[in-house]
Amino acid sequence: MLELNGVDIYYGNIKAVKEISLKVEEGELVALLGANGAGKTTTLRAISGTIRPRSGTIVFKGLDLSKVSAHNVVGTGIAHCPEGRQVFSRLSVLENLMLGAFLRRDKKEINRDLEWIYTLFPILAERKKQSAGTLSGGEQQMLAIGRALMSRPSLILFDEPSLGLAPLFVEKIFEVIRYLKGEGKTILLVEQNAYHALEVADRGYVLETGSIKLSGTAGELLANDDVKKAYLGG
Amino acid sequence: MSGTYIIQNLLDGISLGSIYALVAIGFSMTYSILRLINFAHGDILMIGAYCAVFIMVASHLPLWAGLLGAMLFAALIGMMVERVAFRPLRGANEEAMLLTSLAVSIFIENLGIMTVSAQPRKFETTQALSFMHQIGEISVSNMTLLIFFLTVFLILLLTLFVTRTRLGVAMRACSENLVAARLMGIDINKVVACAFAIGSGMAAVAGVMLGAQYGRIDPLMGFIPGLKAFVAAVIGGIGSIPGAALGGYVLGLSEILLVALLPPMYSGYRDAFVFFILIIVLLIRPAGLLGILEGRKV
Repeated sequence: MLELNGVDIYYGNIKAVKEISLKVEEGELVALLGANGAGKTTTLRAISGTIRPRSGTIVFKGLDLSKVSAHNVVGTGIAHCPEGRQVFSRLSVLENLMLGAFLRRDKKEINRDLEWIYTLFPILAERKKQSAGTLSGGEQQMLAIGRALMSRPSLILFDEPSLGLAPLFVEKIFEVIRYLKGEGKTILLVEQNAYHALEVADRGYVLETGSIKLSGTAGELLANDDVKKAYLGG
Repeated sequence: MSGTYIIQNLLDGISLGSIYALVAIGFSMTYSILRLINFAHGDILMIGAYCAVFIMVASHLPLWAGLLGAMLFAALIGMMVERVAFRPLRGANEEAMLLTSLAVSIFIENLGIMTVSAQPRKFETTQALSFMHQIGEISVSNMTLLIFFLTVFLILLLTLFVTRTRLGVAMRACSENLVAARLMGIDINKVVACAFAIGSGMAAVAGVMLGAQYGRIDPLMGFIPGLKAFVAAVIGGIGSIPGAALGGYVLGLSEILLVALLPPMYSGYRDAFVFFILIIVLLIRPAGLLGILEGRKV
């Protein structure tokens, strides 16, 4: 469904990602693991078009994403739930969610998805008139996920959805990710919390200083000694 | 110093404040999305005023037609300026954009001098506009009423636009977070063009009102109002639309009242008062009256 081939990404003259190749098949949940600065977020940004790779190809459903401008990527079926939530804090919860459906015109279906998100995250229904900036961190993460889902994506990119959240919220977020996988959504999940990520993932890639060091099924990675040492605390 | 004297000056202040508010709103809109301090914004006001005069003189059409034509033409020019001068600078730093806006301003002013001459031109309107209503000792002209109600109407319209329409909500999203806005599928260029069109249209209204009030226009007439609108936007909290409107009225009212209440020998310092008010406001509220202090985005 999604295939990155030999992707190089630079920030100015600094090479942030070196010849990354990875694949996400339809219905799969793939985890992208690695330490801070390994290039995980950069890779996701390249997929959603907010930065351009210098070389290599990114193909989604047979479409070359390097020819699609950033604001059209969501229209191809990719939703990016960005690091640090990035909700529009001065806009209301409802406005945030409706912006997720910005390119959609099917009003009835939009309302149905809105109801679905309200059942997924009842707190958002309660706070729909409040400005997003007044929500707690965990609630904002739920809003960011809800907003991403409002585009009715076939592929969802999650960037550190559990970062900085209280354990209770972390559980809730992973519960939702597991549920979305059950719904048949394809997910590329970037996480520092490698244990949690590999628990829900089918496969995983481990990034180190911009290139892929390891890849395999979640079970293989969980059992791998290097992964254990570096990311699982033992 | 009687009560009527103060009320009379308050009315003048409201009329001046309306004009500042109209210009400041456009200023604030483009700042909030692009972090662009657009010194050419005042010159759009001048273009609007000239456009209205040409429509009214050449085709003998009434003021409303001139006003509408000026808004449309200014909106078009605003979008063109954005396309030609500012879009190539997308992602450039604020200093580069600011200097470019100064260049655009100088260009427009000199183009004006070359094409319509530096000589002031008469701005004639109907007698009905200068009609004075007498309420006791206070007099209010139709002009003052028109400026005030037109401004309030436009601000309400804009408020409806940014809260009720898809494009308006997208505009507010852009003013907060451009990257996230793009992830939603919002075409930034469209939103920016729209902000320029709206801001320029509102500046044109201010230009026509200024012309109608003073009875004459010239190619440099936009400079001072543009500068003061910038001050108004900063006083109100730059980037905030309600803030720009409030800042406009605060500035207009305090400018007129300071001139009225201080001894006549100080009235020459009128423009200095504006910056004095700015300094006082910023000392008390560094982000402006309705501004939100935000960390610099990386």
